[in-house]
Amino acid sequence: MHITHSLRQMLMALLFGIYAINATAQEHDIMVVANLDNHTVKLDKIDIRNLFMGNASDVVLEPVSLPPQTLARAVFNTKIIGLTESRIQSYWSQMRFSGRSRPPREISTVDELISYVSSHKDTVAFVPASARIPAHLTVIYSTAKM
Amino acid sequence: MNANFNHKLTAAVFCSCLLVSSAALASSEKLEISGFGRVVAGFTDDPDVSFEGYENELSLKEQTLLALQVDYHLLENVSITSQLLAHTNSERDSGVEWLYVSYIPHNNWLVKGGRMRTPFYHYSDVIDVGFAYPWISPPQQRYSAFLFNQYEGASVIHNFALENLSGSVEGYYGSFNGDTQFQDRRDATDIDGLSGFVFSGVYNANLRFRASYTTADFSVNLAEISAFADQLRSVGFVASADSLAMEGEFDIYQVGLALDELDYNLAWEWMKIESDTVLAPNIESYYVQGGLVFQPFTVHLTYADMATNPQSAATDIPLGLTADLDQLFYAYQTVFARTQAADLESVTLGVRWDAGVRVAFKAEVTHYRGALGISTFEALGDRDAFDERVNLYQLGMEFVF
Repeated sequence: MHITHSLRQMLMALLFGIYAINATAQEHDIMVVANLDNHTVKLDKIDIRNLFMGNASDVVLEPVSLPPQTLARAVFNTKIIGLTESRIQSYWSQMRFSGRSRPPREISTVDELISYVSSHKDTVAFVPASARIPAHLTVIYSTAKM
Repeated sequence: MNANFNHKLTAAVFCSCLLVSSAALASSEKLEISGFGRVVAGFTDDPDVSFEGYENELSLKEQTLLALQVDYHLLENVSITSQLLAHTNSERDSGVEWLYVSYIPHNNWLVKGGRMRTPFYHYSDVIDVGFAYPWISPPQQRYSAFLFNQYEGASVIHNFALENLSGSVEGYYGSFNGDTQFQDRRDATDIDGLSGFVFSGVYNANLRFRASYTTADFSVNLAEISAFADQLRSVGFVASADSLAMEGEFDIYQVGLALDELDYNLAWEWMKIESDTVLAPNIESYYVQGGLVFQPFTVHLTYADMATNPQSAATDIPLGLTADLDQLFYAYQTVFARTQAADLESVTLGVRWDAGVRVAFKAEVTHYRGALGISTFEALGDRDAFDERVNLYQLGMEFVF
């Protein structure tokens, strides 16, 4: 009985551990979701980088972002953009004050962001991989293994 | 801060209050207000010369500035942008730096008309936005010699995407009538037929490149020199007089590459200025820069070099005939020598600390080697005392909002 109890505790600890690892992995992964008519669209990292850095791209979508200092944005900067937040800010100051382009609109929470994308056609945003997204949105990219 | 700056600042703040109150009237979607500023302190270790206004005592006024940008969206694809600047440097105009209308006829096209910044080099249209680049003073060899920073005209930009390349082509045409600045002097300048194109893009998401060509007819009125040239012309020394005329055509070629990664960056930029005018030297210059990122710090090292192609003085004033002519000969030789540009070499070591999302502090030291010249060092006293080596120390705070 005592052994069974210990075993159960160990098993629980192990399961919780796996769950925790998964949760951390999910926190450090993001997915890029878009409001599109064509649900089969998949983009690569360069397309997404171009969309969020204001460069010309084959796909025309309005990017929407979370504010700096959010975990999902830090993950997106590191895994997709490949630049630090400071470098991105300095890039946008060059684009804005030379009249070339403006940074993406920022929405403060993940829920508001998802709701904005849900209600605006041809918009695109990155959200934590663990976020629940409405069925009519398309996941066009994910840093997690799908 | 001097009274002049306070005055300009008050005007800027007043404007911003007006704009902010009009913002309350307009919908926030239509009006965007942003801005940037910098506070820069610097000094050189050489009492014999001044360099870009810096001398051997701490000065805050050379580059400190505040700017407001207002974007008003008239229609979905038409907007008006204005940028108001207040400088502490009395050699620079404060006021409306930009005022243009932009129109987006199609997603990949942008048409602008009005007063804009001249896009000579990678950072020349954001030269006042220190937050946009790593240095406090970008390599001088590239950014301030010979140039005016505004023009009035039109620009058309087309963006395109091809496989892993995302690029844009810009063509522009315009003119400039105002002052250009060499050291602490301001000279009335007319630029006509200014035209150019810029090809820029990003390959594989992190390698940026830029190539541009600019040409224009220019005429700079160097007051004292023009008066002397007129005197020479009146006594028949036309070749000598012509050699002191600052007018003609110039062509500027530029190529640049920059690689940005999470933990390091590399940049290289080269340019060449060609002109058929004796007083405007042909200049070839470049810099290479490397930075290492230790978030939130970036340490960078830059080597820059500017080579000028010396022009020959005219030889139509005879020497040894009469005392008067000898005096004219030497006067001409002295004036000619003082209008020549000199080569300049520099090494800059700097650090940028991104203390917040929109504020950065910088510190840098630049070692310069170069002679006295119109785009380099200006003698403060005895011209022979200068050993052609200067260290410039600077501290700065950059912000955007």
